Amino acid sequence: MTDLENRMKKLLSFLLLFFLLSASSSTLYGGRPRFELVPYPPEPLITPGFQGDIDSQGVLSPELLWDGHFIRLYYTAVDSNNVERIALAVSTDLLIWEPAGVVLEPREGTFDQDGVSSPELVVIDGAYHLFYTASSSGWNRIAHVSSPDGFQFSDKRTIVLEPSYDTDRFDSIGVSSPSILYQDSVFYLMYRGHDGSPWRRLGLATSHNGFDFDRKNGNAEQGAFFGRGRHGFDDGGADDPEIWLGSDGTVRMLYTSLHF
Amino acid sequence: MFRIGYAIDGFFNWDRRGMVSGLGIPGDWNGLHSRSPSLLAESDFLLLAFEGWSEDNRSSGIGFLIGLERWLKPHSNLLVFDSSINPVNLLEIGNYGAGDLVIESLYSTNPAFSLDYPQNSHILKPAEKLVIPIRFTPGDRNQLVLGTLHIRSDSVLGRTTVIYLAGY
Repeated sequence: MTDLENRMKKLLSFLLLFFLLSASSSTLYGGRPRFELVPYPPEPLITPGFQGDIDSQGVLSPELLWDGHFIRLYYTAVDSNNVERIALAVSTDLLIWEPAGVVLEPREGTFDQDGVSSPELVVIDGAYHLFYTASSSGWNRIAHVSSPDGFQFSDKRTIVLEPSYDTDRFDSIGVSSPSILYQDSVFYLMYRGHDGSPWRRLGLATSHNGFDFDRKNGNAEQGAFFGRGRHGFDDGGADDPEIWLGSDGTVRMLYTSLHF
Repeated sequence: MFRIGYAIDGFFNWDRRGMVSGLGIPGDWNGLHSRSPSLLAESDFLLLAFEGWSEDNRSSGIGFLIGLERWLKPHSNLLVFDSSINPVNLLEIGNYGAGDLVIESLYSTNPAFSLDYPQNSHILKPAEKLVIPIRFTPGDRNQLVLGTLHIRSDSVLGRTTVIYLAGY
């Protein structure tokens, strides 16, 4: 049993108590079952201003990572001028978080000069690979930068996925919000595509080296792999994918659903 | 409005399993939007971080949620039968976890309560439910009959779930 599992089991002890108490109730749920998540704790633990001015206007797009000692939380920090940076907080118990500063700043005169956001971390052979949304002059691209420790990142930043510039596709004018599944030496990248419409759709690209991504054609709308749903809560589409490999070996995804 | 949805069996044929629960009560810090999920999965335990927006359309923080890989919950853990009105009751059990839940067996401790459940085992996908008819056949109509139904599964919260049965 891992250290993280032990910590999460301790956190779940309150859940078990809740269930034992609720067992005396005659009705344990109403309506249709859903993937159920229990707030812990009920209030947010990272709030705007957590690290001073750098995140005074917003704390967005969290990315969790367990490094063997600490739980790291990378996130998009929005300052009082609405500049987006990637910041880090660390914790040992999920309850008390320590600020760890900014790990990636926008760089003047480059493809991410207007903002860096939506961090996605993948650790491979001890190296930290950060994929993020790079913004410049209204264009959003997905870029990559690496680090030996996840704190100090290399000066070398690379665009790994451009907009398709194809007017028939859902990602013609922008790509953002990367989520990576690294499996069998293949990087699977789910991302949001932008085409100027209000709909949110997700695409897929793959790579063998993390830099050269091959955009795939999905069977949802306009080449997307995941589009609008029919059941109300995501009839406007999907954004901010989070993909992972489940214990049964299938690929799963949580996503931001948009309902108009 | 932004909420968080869940889908399985990707990439090419995503199976939508609905919206996750536990988010976005009006007036809460995440009452307007809950979005941008990030998941840490460790064995049977799932930790989710997400961003919340309050109803004045401001970023209000990053919060955390805990979930389980397999989570069996009955709709009710007490079924009461009146043999003259409802000799058959329906038991509903749902999977509230992120992965498949295996129902291994069900058995009643009292033969007065019999199950119409032909399968020895059953797999419940996430957000799926199973409805099982239970028939009450009293020996003596004037006597209260008690029993329990035991559901064996691989739920993370315990392999046996007990449903209390009472009939008259």
